[in-house]
Amino acid sequence: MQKLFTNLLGCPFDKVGTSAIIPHTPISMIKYWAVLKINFLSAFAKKGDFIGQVLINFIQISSFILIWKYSFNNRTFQGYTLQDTIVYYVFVLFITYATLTTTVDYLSKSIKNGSLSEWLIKPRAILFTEIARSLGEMFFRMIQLLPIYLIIAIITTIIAQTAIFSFQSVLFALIFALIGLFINILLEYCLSLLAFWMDEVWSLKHFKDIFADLFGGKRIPLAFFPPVALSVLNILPLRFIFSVPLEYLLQKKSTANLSFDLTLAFIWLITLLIIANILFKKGIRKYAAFGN
Amino acid sequence: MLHSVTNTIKRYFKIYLILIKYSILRDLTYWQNFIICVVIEILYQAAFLTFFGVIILQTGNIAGWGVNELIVLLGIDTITSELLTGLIIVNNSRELPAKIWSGELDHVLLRPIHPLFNLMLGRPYFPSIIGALTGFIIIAIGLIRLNYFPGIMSIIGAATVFSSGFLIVFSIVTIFSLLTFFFNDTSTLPRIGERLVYSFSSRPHSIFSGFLKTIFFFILPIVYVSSITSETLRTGIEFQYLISAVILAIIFLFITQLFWKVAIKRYTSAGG
Repeated sequence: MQKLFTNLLGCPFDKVGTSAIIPHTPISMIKYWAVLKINFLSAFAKKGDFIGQVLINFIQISSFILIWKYSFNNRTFQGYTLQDTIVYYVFVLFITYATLTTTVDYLSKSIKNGSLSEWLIKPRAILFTEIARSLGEMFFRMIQLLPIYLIIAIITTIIAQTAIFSFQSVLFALIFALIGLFINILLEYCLSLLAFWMDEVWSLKHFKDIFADLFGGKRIPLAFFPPVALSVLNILPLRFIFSVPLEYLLQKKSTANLSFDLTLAFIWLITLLIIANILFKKGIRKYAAFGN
Repeated sequence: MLHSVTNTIKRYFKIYLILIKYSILRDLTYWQNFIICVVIEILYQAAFLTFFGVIILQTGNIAGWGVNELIVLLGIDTITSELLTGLIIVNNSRELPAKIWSGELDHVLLRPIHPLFNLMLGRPYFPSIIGALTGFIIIAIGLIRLNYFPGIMSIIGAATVFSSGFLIVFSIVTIFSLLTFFFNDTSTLPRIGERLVYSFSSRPHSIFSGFLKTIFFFILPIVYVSSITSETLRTGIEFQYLISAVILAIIFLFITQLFWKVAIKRYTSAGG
């Protein structure tokens, strides 16, 4: 079992000792906790950039809301009223920051300039380190955004005169946001590993971002897509990054959808882990340590 | 006086041609990368069109603008956003914070041309400029579907409004970028200006009313570059828009120059 996980995680140091590869003991978890904590604290140093990015996203989302405001005319589209759509866009910003990762920027640079060697000699699995790093940054973002969003949730409830969320919908949304983050990390991890073969992978990151924004539900609720497109989008992993957590949060999905969504998410996580493992095993043979 | 102004314009035009030439040579050195960059620009446009396509599919129109009117607007906005990205944003405004922090701005200040020209237009990004060409195709499709061919006066009017609108959005992006001199703990200020333009220039101007109309017609007059240009092309010149676009362009260029003079006094040359 341990060997299977070792393979899936793609750790290059088979000889280092299994605690370095799988965080199965409390001691091995400590080093990932340290990575998480350091990244959480260092994120505070870039607070100005974070506030700027939130403002940039806020501007973009305001423009989406504005265009829908003049398109609804008291109508309902695919079960969405104007109010639902506005709440969707307001909370898409929150989900964006919950599932955001910078794995491509970080890891692909290390492969390109040779600093991956430093990662390889450390007794940590690269994937787990990336997950811990992303979680640390995510916790920083959530601490900044949660008070604002609590106020927004209260105001929204007062305006709508009914509770838009329930305890269950919030819980499901948080679970799927975490799954969305893992899927996003794995997608970016796979793209980063292509740096073993390519000079630059930033273009692939752009492709992923364009597709995820449009077909993952950031720019537009997926329910608005035509049925044929929707049937394809429903089986892609991109919707877990934005759409699925939001649909649970806004109670557009119920427990009836839970088993299908969880199964599909699990299938995608395993598939991406296997792809990552293959890419790492093949890529590390090409790695020249002085820069790729 | 007139002779001196003409000579200055000629000089800057010559310098700009040289800068464009070097930019093309630099971008084409890695031609595979260049092609990927062009493909990314086209993908962004496709995503942008799909977004509006899905809205139209559900709603039929946006604030009274039908599919074909929107296609013309989106074509013009494609040209706007690609030219803005290529001429001003990618290698220029986004690089400004790093230049201020590193003290690299010294080299720009030493050159015998206006530093703002050098900073904001010095390094064009060619893939986006090529990407702007698809905008003309989209406009042509919209006009053919409308079965309307604009007269020469409409084209001249639209070109004037577009040029004025472009100078306005150039000024807005520049002013936001120059704020980096005052708030040097963030590198995102240039992106705020560009996001404002990207997000609101493609919206039909009829969706702005009340307070928003004051903002987007006068305070941050983003509507002229794409939306008013599109209407001018389709329905002919409306003098109130034409005149206000030209006047606002002059005012905004003046404010930008003034803002530069204030901002540069904050530069220490020490980096950081």
